[in-house]
Amino acid sequence: MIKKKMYPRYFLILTLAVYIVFYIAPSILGVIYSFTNRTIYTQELEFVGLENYIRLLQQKRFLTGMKNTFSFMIVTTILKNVVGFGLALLLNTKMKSRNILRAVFYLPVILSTLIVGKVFVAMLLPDTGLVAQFLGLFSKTLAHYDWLGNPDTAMYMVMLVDVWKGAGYCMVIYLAGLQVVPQDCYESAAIDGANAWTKFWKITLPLMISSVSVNVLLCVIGGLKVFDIIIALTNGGPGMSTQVLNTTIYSYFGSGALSTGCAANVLLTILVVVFFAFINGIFGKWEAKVS
Amino acid sequence: MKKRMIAAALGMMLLGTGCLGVCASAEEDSSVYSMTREDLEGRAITLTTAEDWWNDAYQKLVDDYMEEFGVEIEVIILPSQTASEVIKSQFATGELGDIVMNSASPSELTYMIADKNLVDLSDEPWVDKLSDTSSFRYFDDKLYGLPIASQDYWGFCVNKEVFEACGLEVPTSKEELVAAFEVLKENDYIPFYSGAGDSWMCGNITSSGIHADWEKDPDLVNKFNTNQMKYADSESWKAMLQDVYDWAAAGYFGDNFMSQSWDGLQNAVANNECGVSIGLTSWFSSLETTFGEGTSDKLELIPYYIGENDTIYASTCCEWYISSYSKNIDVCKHFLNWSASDENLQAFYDTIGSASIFKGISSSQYTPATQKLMDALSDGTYGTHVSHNSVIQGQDWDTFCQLMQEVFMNNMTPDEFCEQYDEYRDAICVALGMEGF
Repeated sequence: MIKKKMYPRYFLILTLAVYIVFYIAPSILGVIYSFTNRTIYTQELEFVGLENYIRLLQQKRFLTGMKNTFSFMIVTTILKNVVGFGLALLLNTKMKSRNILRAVFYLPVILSTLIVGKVFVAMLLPDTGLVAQFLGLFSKTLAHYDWLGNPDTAMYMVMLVDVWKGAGYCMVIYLAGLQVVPQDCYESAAIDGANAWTKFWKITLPLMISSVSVNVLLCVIGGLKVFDIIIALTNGGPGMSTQVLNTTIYSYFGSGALSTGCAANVLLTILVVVFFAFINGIFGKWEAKVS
Repeated sequence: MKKRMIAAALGMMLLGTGCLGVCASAEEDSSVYSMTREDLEGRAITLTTAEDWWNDAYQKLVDDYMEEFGVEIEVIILPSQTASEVIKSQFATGELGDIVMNSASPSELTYMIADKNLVDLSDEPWVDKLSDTSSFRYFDDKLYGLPIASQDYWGFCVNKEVFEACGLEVPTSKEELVAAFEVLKENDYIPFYSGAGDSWMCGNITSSGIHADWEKDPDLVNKFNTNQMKYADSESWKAMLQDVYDWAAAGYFGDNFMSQSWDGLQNAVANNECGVSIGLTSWFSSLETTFGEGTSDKLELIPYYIGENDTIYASTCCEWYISSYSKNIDVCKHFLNWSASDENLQAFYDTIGSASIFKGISSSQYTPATQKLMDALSDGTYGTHVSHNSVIQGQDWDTFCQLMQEVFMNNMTPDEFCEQYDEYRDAICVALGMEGF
């Protein structure tokens, strides 16, 4: 009998210890703190039950953050996938510059979010920004418009920048998916007289469902957890117009309300899990139907 | 008898040890201030500050000290947008730099957990040089920071050149100011450059909100701090908020006021783009440094004519605190004491050109505008107020300022502001364990 060679189990200890200390323990502590009155002002802990959660759900500030997070998540998920899929289809053809273009469209993904934020803040400045100078060729009013400083447009601008930065990532996953779609299917469809739209709808999309599933899930989770791009572009302003759940949690911690921040964080985690399960379920059924 | 003698001997020994301890401690304390380059060379400390607070005058003190004593001071300048949260987190965890430059407002010492995190500086040699420590002492009556350049006078800053071009006189009341706004608007000037894009500027304009009510009721602040009163209950507060709301609606802050910033304010004033703005005495000096001598001659500070107020804002800006966790408390104390020497203070105030709270120190670089204001304060033409957030406990300044931006944008009425902020402050006061909450 050939004995299967195994590494000793104690090799796990270090990794497990790091994981427990830096991931598991803080998470458990966070959940525990969310049921207490822990603040930075006092070390005393008192169990307060669901009080933090109830207070949070009554606070307009938290609800505004939640509303903005949902808007951000829905819009960016749709746009990143539509743009990413479109780019992937375009760059899956035999055009000569496709490799360069793939690199160009993927480039924003590897840039630091803070740098992207600073660049776009400068570009979107009224009167002097690059965008304003371009728009100034057509209209002085448009050149004078403050895209990030106006509550009506600030969130859309943040979404736009996030889509610009994230669509390349979706594109790469879709490109990988497109490589495995059999060409025979397209040839058979062409013989049957199918047009481009029918080929896309009946062949490409169903065979790409696993790529769509991965991209949508990643975008939804990323959208719910959005933080850095908001801080870099608007810092949650003007006023509360771009406050999302994570920036709200950040300010709870900043003001010393540790248990309230923990409770908000737990709620965000629950939201992420619920959305993940829901979307995964839908795509799972769709994949089963297609296969 | 023998027992008594032994007890007496032991008592004497204990007393002696105690005396020696006190003497040693006093000696140790005084030795801190007499340390020389030989004692200090090679030591290193950190100083954490925020982008908006740091200026050339502070940097010069640091550079001169490093050169004179060979101490390495690493100045950590936090970006203005995130400085507040970062510093609060540092106080929460105790992971502080040796010296922290932070708000001088006593009410904010609460979140700093001053008695635990900070070194008590009440007995430092420079304390006697302060003309008045009452506005800097914490509720336990201790002084935890060196209030270097901590006090300044803010007012509505009138650009006399712009006013003259519009045929206007410097306003002497709120009614005259509002009438001037209309004329400035008709002449295509920004009537009031508020800097509302920087949320703290939206908070600054509220400083005088409770002043009129406080004048009527001396117990007002105590009522706020014991939950007998909320912002929604203060008539003068709501009058101030209503003015902000109305002025924004009337277009007095200009078209794109959410893109106005503190940094943009200098340009707007220097280039005569606005009639009125917010200004302070030390700002005049930096204006002259940037745009040339005489730039501030066209400016005049008048009271915050908003709501029911007619006084100048005497602010508490920021102080230098020493972390109690620092392993270099001796160096930090030495640095603070050295900085507070008459020679260094004089050089410091000459650079920043603002009013000083140190006895016998008066900037030789007052601009004419600063001098005029100081005269008006001395002869009683103008009174002063302190900001509500430095006396009313349980504040979250960042949230406060963001909500104020909503009022500026007319997204929130004064009543809605009060409802939301009172609710938020209430939660903080509960967390603080304040009586009555």
